[in-house]
Amino acid sequence: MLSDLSISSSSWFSPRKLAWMNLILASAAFGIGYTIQELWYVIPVVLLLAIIWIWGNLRAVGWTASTIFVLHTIIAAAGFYYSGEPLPLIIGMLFALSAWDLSSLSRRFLIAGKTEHKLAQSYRHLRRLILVEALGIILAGITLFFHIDINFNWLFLFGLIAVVGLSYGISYLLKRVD
Amino acid sequence: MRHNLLLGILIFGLILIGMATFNAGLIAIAILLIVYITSGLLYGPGQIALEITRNISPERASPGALVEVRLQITNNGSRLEEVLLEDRIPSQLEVVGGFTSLMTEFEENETKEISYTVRGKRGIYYFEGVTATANDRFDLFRRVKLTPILGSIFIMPQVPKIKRVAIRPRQTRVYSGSVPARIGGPGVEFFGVRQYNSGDPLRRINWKVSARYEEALFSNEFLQERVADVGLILDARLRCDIRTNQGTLFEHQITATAALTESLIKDGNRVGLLVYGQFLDWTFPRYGKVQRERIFQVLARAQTGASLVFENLENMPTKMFPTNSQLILFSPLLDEDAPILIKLRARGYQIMIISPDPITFQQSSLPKNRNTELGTRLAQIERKLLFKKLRHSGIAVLNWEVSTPFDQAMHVALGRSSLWSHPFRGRR
Repeated sequence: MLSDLSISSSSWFSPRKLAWMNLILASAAFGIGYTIQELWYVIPVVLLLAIIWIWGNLRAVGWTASTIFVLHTIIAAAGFYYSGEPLPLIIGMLFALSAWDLSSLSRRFLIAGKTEHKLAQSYRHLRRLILVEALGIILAGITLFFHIDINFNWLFLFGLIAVVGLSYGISYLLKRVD
Repeated sequence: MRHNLLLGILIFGLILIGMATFNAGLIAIAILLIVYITSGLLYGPGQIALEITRNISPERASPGALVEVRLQITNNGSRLEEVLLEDRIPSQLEVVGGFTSLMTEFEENETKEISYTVRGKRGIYYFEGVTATANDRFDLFRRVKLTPILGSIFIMPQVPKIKRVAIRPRQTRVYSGSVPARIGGPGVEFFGVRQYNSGDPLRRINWKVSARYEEALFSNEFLQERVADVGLILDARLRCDIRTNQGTLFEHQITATAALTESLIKDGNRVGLLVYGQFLDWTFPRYGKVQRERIFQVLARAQTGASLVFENLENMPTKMFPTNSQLILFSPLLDEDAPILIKLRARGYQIMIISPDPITFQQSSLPKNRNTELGTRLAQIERKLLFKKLRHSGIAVLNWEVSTPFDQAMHVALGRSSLWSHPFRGRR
């Protein structure tokens, strides 16, 4: 059983600590990305977001993690928009996603009262997160480094498929929201 | 906002902007998020099918006593990789040990246990069921299901033990009991003498009286003790109740009612209860332990309430009580109640009033100054006058200062030894 792991739940292997680590790494990656681009004024924003995230996490404020995850996505997207270095931006996004996910997990543990085999659950969660992110980064890498030249008509068709598909997707998700 | 919706909006926005600006970076971020959300879809929770058994021990407890609740939950559905099982407990119950919820992984046919300890105040508490919230590991897709599993905890009112209460109704029932019946016959206490009838045991012949007459013999008669009909009336009118930071006066009324119920039923009397407040809650007079349980259940759920119809005691349905029976009213009393109670006494009911003192109860929570002192004195004079009026009409009244335990107050005022309870006093 994973619950019999010798690592105690108070060790580094706790979702909350991992979320903090991921946030620091995400901020560092975004910082590096914008430093390369010489857009210095973004770095204080990244630091401010990290501080707000930590404050929210310490005070168990529910909205901070999701809000800052959205802002991190915008920072990553803006970096790409201003032709930034893709590697630190995509890695920053990866860590931001991990921080958001792990903070959500630690919050669920907190609300639950009693959690059975917390360590084993955290371990399995982390394993899946790593797998999903590894697959995500491979696919994202393919997107970034393989270029396909398409004309406007194809682009319009893909755009239309994407809009219709995503609209269906979102309406499906809305139905499943409780 | 739910995580899946947030991600959906982000993905939508990134793809649209990415395609509009020919920016592969934005699409790459969107792909990262798409992979994440797809894993949620793939590993989303299946149907929740739980089988639950609830064990409450004890189901019947006194206020503040600890009650253990155990739930055995078996998963009859598919595997749930993250599920939060929450027992929905009544909000008035206080959890003092254990947890009412459990977050776990739930394999097929596996059984989990939730156990916790609660305590509460007087009342009947009903459990609804267990809510299971199952989600994938990233909490993107959820299923929530309430599995009803009923159960209840009955926290009975406090029942202080009191000595036998001496009641003297005009009419008793045929069965032997402990209430002096005002008629001669077999018994213990001397009642009188009558002419000897053939068949009377010789030891019953009163030789002293017989010696005075030449051709007649006289036998002793004893006071018959029988069971009686007792109607308990609990005044639950909101306007009579007083609430302070020490609690409510109504709780003391409940305690008194419970104590007398216990004592009267134990003596074999036929006891009924009328809760007179927002509506009438009537428990028909019966004998025995089952009746005691019925009355305790009514007392456990009794609450004060306001109603225009039952604002004063005038609309009390006394026909529910047998004529000439004993009525015991538990009420702080209002001035306007006196004429109605006197009328009832005139109809032949033997009335006893147990009145928790609202003045001393409220005084303890008021600031100590000259105005409070003066107001208290005036209120006490009014109350004494009210009691005097009632006692003049043959109504027995116990003014109970609730700081004194009820058993002590009863022992002093209504015990067998008191002058008040003399068997013939009511007749004169």
